[in-house]
Amino acid sequence: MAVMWHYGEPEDGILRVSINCEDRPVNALSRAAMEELRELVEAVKANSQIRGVIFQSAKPGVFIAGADITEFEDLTEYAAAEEVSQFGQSVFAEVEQLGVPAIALISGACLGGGLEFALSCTYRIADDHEKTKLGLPEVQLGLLPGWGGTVRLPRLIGLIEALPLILSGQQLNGYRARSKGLVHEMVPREALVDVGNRVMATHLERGSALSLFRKSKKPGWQRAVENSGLVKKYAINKARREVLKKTHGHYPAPLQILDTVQNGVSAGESQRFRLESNGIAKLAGSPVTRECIRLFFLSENAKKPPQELTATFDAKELKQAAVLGAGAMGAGIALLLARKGIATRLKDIKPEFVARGVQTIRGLLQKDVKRKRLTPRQAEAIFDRISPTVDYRGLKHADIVIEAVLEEIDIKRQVFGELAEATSDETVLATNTSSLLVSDIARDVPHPERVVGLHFFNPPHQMPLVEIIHTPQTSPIALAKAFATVQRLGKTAVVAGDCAGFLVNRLLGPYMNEAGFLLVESANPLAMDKAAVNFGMPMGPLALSDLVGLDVAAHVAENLHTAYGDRMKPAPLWDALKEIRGSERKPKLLAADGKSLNNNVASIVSRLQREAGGSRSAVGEQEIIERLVYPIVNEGARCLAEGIARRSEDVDLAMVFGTGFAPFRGGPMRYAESVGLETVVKSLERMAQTHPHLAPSDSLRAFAHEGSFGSQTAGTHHEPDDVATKRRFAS
Amino acid sequence: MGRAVIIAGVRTPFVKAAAELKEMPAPELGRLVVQELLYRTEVLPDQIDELICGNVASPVDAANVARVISLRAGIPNDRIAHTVNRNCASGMEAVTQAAMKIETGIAKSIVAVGVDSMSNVPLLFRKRFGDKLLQLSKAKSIGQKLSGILRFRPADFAPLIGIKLGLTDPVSGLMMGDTAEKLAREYGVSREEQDAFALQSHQKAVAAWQAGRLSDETMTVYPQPKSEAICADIGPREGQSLEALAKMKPYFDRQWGSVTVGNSCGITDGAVALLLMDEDFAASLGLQPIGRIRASAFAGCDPARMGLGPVYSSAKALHAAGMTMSDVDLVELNEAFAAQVLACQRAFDSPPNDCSNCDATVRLKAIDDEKLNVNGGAIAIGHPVGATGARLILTLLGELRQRDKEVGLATLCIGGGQGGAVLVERMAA
Repeated sequence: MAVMWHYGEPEDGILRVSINCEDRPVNALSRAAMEELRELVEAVKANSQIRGVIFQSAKPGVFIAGADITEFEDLTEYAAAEEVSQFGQSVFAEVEQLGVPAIALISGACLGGGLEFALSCTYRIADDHEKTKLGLPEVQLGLLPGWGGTVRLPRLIGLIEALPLILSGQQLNGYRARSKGLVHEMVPREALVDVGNRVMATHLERGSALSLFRKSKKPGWQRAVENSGLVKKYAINKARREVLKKTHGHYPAPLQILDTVQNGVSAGESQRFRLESNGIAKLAGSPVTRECIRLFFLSENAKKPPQELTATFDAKELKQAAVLGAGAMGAGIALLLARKGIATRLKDIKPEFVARGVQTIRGLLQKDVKRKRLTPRQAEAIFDRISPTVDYRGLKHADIVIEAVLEEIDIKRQVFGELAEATSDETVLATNTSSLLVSDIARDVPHPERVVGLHFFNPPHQMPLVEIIHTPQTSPIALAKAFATVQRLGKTAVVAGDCAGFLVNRLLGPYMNEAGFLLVESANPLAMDKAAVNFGMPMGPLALSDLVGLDVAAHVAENLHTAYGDRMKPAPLWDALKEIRGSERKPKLLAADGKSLNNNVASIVSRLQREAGGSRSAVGEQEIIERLVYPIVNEGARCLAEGIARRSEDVDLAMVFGTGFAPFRGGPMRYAESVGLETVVKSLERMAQTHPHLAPSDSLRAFAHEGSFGSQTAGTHHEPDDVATKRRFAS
Repeated sequence: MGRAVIIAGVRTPFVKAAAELKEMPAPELGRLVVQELLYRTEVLPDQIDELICGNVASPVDAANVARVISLRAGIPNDRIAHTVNRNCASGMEAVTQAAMKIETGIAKSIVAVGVDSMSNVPLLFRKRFGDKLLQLSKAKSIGQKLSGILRFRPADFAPLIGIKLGLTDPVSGLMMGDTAEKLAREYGVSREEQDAFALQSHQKAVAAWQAGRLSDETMTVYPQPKSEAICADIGPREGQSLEALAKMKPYFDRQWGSVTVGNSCGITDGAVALLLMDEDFAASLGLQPIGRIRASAFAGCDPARMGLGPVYSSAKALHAAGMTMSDVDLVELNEAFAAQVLACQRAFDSPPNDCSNCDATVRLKAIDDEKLNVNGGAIAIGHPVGATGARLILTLLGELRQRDKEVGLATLCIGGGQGGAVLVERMAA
């Protein structure tokens, strides 16, 4: 029984190979599949009757999704990784030198190793299927295309075009793949086989089928310029500057890609393949790559219903939804639902408010049309699914209602009371609250078992995380429907218990609060943001406070203080800042240039410093990080012990996807484990001498005693299945 | 065979053309009312068998606009939809066809729509322009091309105004306003009477909106470009005065005429949707009907006197129902022109000789003022041609409920020489 490549006898000299990993949901290039491909090549070479080979997938929606990533999980040894790369290169080199024409008929995901395979075929024909995506996304796993991708793609479309694709891992649909030159032609789905036959016949008749295809629009002189060494050098240098600016050098993969390509410019072709193997072998051992792969598996895993979900609900069954509150959040959520084909009623209390939401939605859609992410017709179809209203009619058939009204408990309770009347008993009532307890909101609802929290992050169309909050009363089916909704929206779900701030805000609170202390205590307050960015945060805590708004941050801080007592007592700074909230409309900590403190803030800080007395010394980066990050870990340990979070992986996922916590460090809990939990405890104990609220929690001590948070590695925690592979590459 | 009942209806605000709704073509207006109707009634799209849409201006990019509306409103692909055109009564035609299809058992639930976006009636190129363009495209040599270009004359570029063509009766050659002038002369309706009637239409509509009598039937729309909420008809003018109306110049017969823009209905954008169901089916869904059609009739008349259509069709409908005008509690008679409504009033009292059902009985008599268009009419509210017929029925049923009355007559004149009339009966909870 073949692993992946199925074929019978050639017909009229043409061998048709059907690509199908039969026992798996997607086609992935495992070691066994690669070996089988080599045998296939040898068989073709040995059979003089075969005049051509046509490859096509038997799975709708996927051609070849890529290499089998589960085989990469433990591939950390340089020599082993190099061998995997060289083996793949040699197989694809044999495909390239098959001696007879090979045609790849590409429908569905053709990514990573799948595209590298296609690139070694003589002809590539893609179709217009919505799932047809071509790209080399290895960089997102901290790797580089190791089976000839860094050589063949630049050879095919030129370095200038290829480099951004390899560096970003961007995936192109059939149309864009053709205009970029990745494929020879893009044809309607139904015509794929027929066109393949015609290409083969033409090639056999005339020795080439290139005359059948539309010519490149790029003039010859432009190609010549792009091929000059000087231009290539310039492009590589420019790309390097951009990469460094974006990643602060935290990610070795894009830099390695640039090195590999740069060294290859003046090298011969066989040398280029060697450079590629060296490159991926170097990356394979990097801890960043390990964390990227782990996070990938974690996020893929989060897309499947967790084991704790005792009921199931098929995301495809969601037909109608409603959103209450047409503010930026509500409108954004309504648009997300409509994009995924769910008829959505959007309600606010006044026509003016609804109008604003409708306008927000139109604006976002128009932007997508302008950027060619949607056709005008697609945008219209999405807009058609949103029905604005100021009353509660039309909610009876809603599978889920998501409330995003003002963060006032009385208003929310009233709204949920009204909702309970307006909906059927099966409708899930979800609140997008960020600061209130879900169980408080659900208190007076006749059927509290259908109330859940769905905490989206702002702006909802960009933020990948949704926290799903269940109360002790939430029914399994309500939780399952909430999960299905998040699944349908293509977001990453973290299921957590009901507590003030839920997971993300509860853990971010101490981090922000320590920033407030540090700002007054340290002689070099601005070093804090720099240290955080160097650590790998997308921005420092001061810049983050300004982004979310000081009043929002203060509100969250007060909330957490009320709920958790002294350990979350807001730093004196936050209280003092209230003075300027009156005088400035949107007060910020940082001045407009971002390099110094806002004058008013600076004077408050110096006053607080005088009041505190004592001398201030500059705080080193390491100390800043310990001060900012360890309290997150401390609180995270409490969440685990309380059962608010069920796994330390959930905490990591929530913080990475919800706040951008340095992804290559794997999240706060993973980071703490890599530092050593005892070390973290000791550091917290030391800091607690002057700041008692930082004392390590009993839960953290207990975990430290065990030596870990009991987290499982990605490979054992989740089934190494290919849904992950598919999602990873097809998404 | 079951009885057809009307479950509910909803309409957009009516807005004069080239104004707030101009970026909303007919398919969009139709989609909005149908979706809102389904949400309001809590009926699922897949509980609809069919959609029938009355439309006159026929958007060039949506030949069967009913189908476009049906699909865009989320009604499943396997349901059917067709567009009907009986000119000004297209919306009424959609409703009566829906009722007939339900009563013959062909369908159990039908959405009847009336829609027109008169803002979007295109300008047309003249035929001779098109001919010359075609010739030019066939030209091969440079000489042929040059002479092809030189054949164009400045007058060829002047567009034909589609809406003007649409409002002209191609048989008699009269514009609709000309037929109103004709009735004004024949029935001796003075300019002052017309203006006074127009003023009343505004006053009644303003009062109705202020009292909220029209708000239930109207949905809010959020049109491009700014998505500002349009919650009510734009037409009714609170400050309308006789003096202002008297100042207006006659529009159709500029020298001797009496029909002005002020005492005629405006060119308008708007849409209406009504949900009709088999009575038993409605009961099975737990829906409470608001009314049903007792009888309906369309009748032909002289195209040059199309304004008298309501007289002919009302007589026919009353005859079919075995009723007389005195049995009717409320009447919605479309105000195409004040002159035409007033002429109808007189003709109800002394019907024309060629009216077959008029003389057989004493069914007809002039409608009491307190029964006629109690919430104003098209002069104030507007007349999106394909939508009005359905709006009259919707407004009538709403008003019967608010007044706790039983029987209503909705009737209108139809360009080309016809009349339409629907006798409705309210069904109370």
